[in-house]
Amino acid sequence: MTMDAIEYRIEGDDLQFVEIRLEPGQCAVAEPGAMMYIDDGIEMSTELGDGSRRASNFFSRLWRGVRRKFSGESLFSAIFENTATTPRRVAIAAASPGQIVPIDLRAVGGELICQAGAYLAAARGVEIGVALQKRLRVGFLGGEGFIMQKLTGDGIAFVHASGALTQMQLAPGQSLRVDTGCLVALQTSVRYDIQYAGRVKTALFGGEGLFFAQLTGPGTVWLQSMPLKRLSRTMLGSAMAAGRPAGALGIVYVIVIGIIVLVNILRSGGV
Amino acid sequence: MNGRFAARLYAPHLPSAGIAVDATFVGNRLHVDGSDAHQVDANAITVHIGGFDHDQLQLCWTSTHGHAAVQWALTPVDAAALATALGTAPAALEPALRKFRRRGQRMSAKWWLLGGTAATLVLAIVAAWWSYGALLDWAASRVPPEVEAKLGEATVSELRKAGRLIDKGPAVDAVTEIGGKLTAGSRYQYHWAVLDEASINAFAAPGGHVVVHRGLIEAAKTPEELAGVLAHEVQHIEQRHTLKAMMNGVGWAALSTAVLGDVSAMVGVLAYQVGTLSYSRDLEAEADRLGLAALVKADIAPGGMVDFFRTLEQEGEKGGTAAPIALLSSHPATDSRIAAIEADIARLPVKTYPPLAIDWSAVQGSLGDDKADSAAAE
Repeated sequence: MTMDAIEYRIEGDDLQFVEIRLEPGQCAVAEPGAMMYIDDGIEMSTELGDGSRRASNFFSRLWRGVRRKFSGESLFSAIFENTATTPRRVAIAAASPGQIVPIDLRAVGGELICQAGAYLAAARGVEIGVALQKRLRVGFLGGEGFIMQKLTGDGIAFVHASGALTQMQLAPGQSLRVDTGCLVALQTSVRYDIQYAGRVKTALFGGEGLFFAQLTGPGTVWLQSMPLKRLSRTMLGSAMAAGRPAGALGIVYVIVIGIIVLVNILRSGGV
Repeated sequence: MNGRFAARLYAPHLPSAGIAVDATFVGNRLHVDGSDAHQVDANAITVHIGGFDHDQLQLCWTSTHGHAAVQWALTPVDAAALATALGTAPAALEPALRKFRRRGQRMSAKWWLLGGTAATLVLAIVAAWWSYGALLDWAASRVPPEVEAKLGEATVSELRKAGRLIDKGPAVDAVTEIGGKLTAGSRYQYHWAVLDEASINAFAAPGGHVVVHRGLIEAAKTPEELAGVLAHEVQHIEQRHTLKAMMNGVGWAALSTAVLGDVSAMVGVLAYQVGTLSYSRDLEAEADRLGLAALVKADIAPGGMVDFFRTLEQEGEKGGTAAPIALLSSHPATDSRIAAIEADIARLPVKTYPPLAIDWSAVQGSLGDDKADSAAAE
């Protein structure tokens, strides 16, 4: 399968977007709603499925769409095609604070597993599928759930995750323990397992949870500094602390309970 | 077949995705061709299970590359290469490879176990849903009669202590006579009483206590109407409805807590209400149905049950009755309910029932005296 080789430029520090330069006739595929700006001459269309050219008929496209949906993406893909005669630009923005990482799928062996929802955009031809976690304990306790994304192809894919992203190459047999949820992407040759945190005291008070994700090489892994779960927990905590009056809902609640009790008393007249 | 298989070779100084090589087992040695050609002794090779799905065979070894020790890993690229590698591997690697072969079976066994457990759970829930009534019947039948008697005694003794229970007189005699016909052969010891209360109501407490309000006897036009009410109440006792309703309530409370958690207590209470209310309707319908059968068995005209509801309706329409019709709050005389009873009656063989030999006006008249007597006794 041939890929569109694309040029790109990633802008911004913590709130990033990627500007892709498309040669005439080239296509880029992105998540719907992620577009920031496009030049004149770029035609935007929406396609069911992942926009890879492999899907020919409606049902196979629908099936691809459903698979995408399961991996945390939209059923549809936005396709940006340069119909002009000169190179044009498409900019695609990330939806949360974090970083966009370009990953050359060829350099990781043509296949990449990533966190559900991590895929942002790619050159046309990259397939987005589901990587089902077959190991129960990893699925339940590994922090990524049972469904991850599998990107297949040999072009560039843009992956986004919150916080700062770092890439690490693990030598054969080299092992890395990662807080569950911090894993963004990994090469398929990397062994992904979980490991008990060790001591009960550490597990309870260490603040890291009971288990670590254990990644064993060979292969490359990408890690994020701030999983969205951790960020939202912090935000929710301060939002709740910002003051919570009983509110109208609380009063409605009390009234409903009162009515129910009243009905019960009335009903208990006879058996 | 030359035993050559395609593989990827990984090492720290190689690209992350590894490099494509050909490998062969020659005797007790592994030969790796390609740009980084070398040979390894099988005894130096350790077998690892790697990859995202834990399905990749990794042959690992250490060599000195320059000055430092270098970790190498070799992975067959596909199923055919894997089969070749497994087939041609020397005996020294066999124990480790056996472990690799078994890994796949273990994983699928786990999934089967999980699927089986989930399916069993779903089946159990469906079965419990279908046989919910039978389940409650069974649970209620586990409760010994002494417990039921104690429960009932507790309810009635409160009233008796308050001095509002009429234990003798023509009204109690009439209730006892009709009740005795309806409960012939019952396993319970029945206690009949009239409560000095102007509202129209009757209730049954577990273990055989039936209490009829004075207002109900005054409102009933014939003893058959009273018999209809009694037949209904007796079935509540015979079928242990109080116990079942209690268990149903506990079950729903537990279920709503388990499913909804503490977060949505309001929804939990509502679910509980819906659950208990619908069950209580089921019990009422059952008491109607079985009460009708008991009336027929006791040779009492079953029409009294419907007639009494009609009487109540008329009372309600007339308005201005002094006695609040409390019975209707727990026994709504809906059209559908009357229709159901009438349909049951229509299904019965046509037969003339002997009227109950009770001087009804005397019974009704006695209640005023009873009241006076009990007032005098106090």
